[in-house]
Amino acid sequence: MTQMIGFEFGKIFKRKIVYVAILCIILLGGAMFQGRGVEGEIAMLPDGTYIEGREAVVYDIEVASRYKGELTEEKIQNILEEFSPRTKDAAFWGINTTYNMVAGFWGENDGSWNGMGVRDIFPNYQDEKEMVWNYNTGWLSYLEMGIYTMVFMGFLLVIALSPVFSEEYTRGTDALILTARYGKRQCVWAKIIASYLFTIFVTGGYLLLMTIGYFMEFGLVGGEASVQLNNHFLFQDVPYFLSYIQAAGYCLVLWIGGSLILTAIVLLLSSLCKSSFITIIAALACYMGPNFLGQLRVPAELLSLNPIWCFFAEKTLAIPKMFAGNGAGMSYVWVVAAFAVLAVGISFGMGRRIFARHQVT
Amino acid sequence: MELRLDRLTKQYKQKLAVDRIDLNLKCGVYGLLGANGAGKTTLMRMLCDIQDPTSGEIFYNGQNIRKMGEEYRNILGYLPQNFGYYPEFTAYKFLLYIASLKGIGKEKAKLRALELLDIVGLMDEKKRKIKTFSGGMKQRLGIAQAMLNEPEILILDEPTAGLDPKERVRFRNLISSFSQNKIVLLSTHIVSDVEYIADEILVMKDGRLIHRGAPEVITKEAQGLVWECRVDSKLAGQYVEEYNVGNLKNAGDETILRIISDTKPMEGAIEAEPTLEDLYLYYFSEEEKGQ
Repeated sequence: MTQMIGFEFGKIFKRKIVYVAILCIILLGGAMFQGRGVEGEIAMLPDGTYIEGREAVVYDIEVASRYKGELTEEKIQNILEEFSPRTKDAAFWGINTTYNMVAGFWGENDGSWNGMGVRDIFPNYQDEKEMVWNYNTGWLSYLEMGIYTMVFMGFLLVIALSPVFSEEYTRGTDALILTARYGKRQCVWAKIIASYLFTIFVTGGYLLLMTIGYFMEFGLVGGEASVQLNNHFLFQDVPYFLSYIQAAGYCLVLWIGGSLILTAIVLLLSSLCKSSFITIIAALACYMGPNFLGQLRVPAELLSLNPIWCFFAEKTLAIPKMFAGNGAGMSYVWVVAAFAVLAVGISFGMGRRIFARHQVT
Repeated sequence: MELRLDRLTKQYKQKLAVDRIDLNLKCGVYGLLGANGAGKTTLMRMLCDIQDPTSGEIFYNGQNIRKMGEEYRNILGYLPQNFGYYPEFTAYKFLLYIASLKGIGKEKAKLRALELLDIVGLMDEKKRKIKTFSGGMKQRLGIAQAMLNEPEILILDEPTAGLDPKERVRFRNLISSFSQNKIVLLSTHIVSDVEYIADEILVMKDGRLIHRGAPEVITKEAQGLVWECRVDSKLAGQYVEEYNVGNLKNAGDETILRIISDTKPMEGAIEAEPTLEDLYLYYFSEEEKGQ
């Protein structure tokens, strides 16, 4: 079996287009990391001079640490008071992370406080625990980069795994496989295991590199801050207390879960379609299609089971926690994770059934 | 050892590809002859359990092959008509891959792969990618993969397609040496491929088994059907149109025609010794003309 898995794994990697797609992901990730890393950071000192890079990060962390902890109306007013530009033409952005976030949510056009409380801005927020602020640029960039690159990772998975079964039909090797002793069972499992290994290897490897890269660049500072509090207005619909470190964990579950669901979909389509090209088209339709369902009032619970929504993560995290009888809340992320496990199981069962019963023509 | 086909039928929508075939195959080489579309490939696919019959069953030593599953596939070797391969694999790696599918242990697989590469004359090419192989080389590799597991039942669909005459002779000798205590069924429409090595010829037409027997026996059945006649070369074309002509040879102003006919085609025609090819033409002249 191990030998068969090795062969099947090798077959996935034999195609040049897979290397090209991996290279594209690496280049995209590298470019985003460059743009969203420490080098891209800017901040404005009280005297109006701008600083960049590591210096800006150190300054940002220092400012944020003065206001870190539970975010209160008093802190909001103090931040607006301390950092609002004194001249009419001054920009409200690029001053420092703390001010940018507060001004974005609680600042009027003239830089003054809009009079709203923390919960007024986040009407969906239901948690008893108040939101917590700290410097979070590293975490935010990490999550954003993950979201964008995972969407592209989906394309890589579609391209790499579409031929797993369908190319055997096209090449006529299905006849050889299905007449071999282990062709109708172990070989199919080997193909499916190799596909999941590929997914885990590529997705997991990429996420590991990205995680290490960001932690080396920004460290762990701000992991305890509330995910809703950021100047990109991301995650503002999350209705419960969620720290960046928790959000990163949930996102990793969603990204890997989404990759596994997508792999299951592609494998099933590959076993059904007679050519790799048709599989790729069908898989892309299944992958991209749900992206447009967001406008159609499809329940978020249903949308969140689609790979692309798993990769976007934000909508899934915005689904309220489910409460059991004892009052302990459970994130919907775990439902997605369970669904991913189910999808993997279905792909093993149905993939084998479809391929083994396929009529050679 | 016995492979029994019991009223085996395959229907594709309106076309009856295989029509109620009853057949008992015991150890030996069977040549399945038939024109394109006769149902040979469909029959072979059903024997390999990669196409479901519409009705009827196949039994190996009394057991239904579909119920035997892995056990049946373990004793089966198959070369499909259009042999599929992985272009990026080397010949050696390809054989190792197929060996793993056939459940052959790693070390044994290496020895067997090398042995077969030697037998089919591809030893020097073992590290070459299959995409660089000629049609004949690919076909030889296909034959090698079918024999990897030393199958008790070897099914070869058009195995000599793409082979040059020397390779065909080598293939025939290979099958002969391999066939002891095995059932070998090979389909072809190249009569000479089976004439010398088949213990029995099976003739298929329109999905039905219309004739079977040892080559020399069924060849004798064509006695009195083959005629040689000398005609004016200018009239040769007319005779070709009118009769089922197996061979045509120019001899000066005359042309020697080998005609397959139930009746003496003309005055002066001499009865000739029939061959299996004559018998084939007797059954399939219309199909061959159609192609």
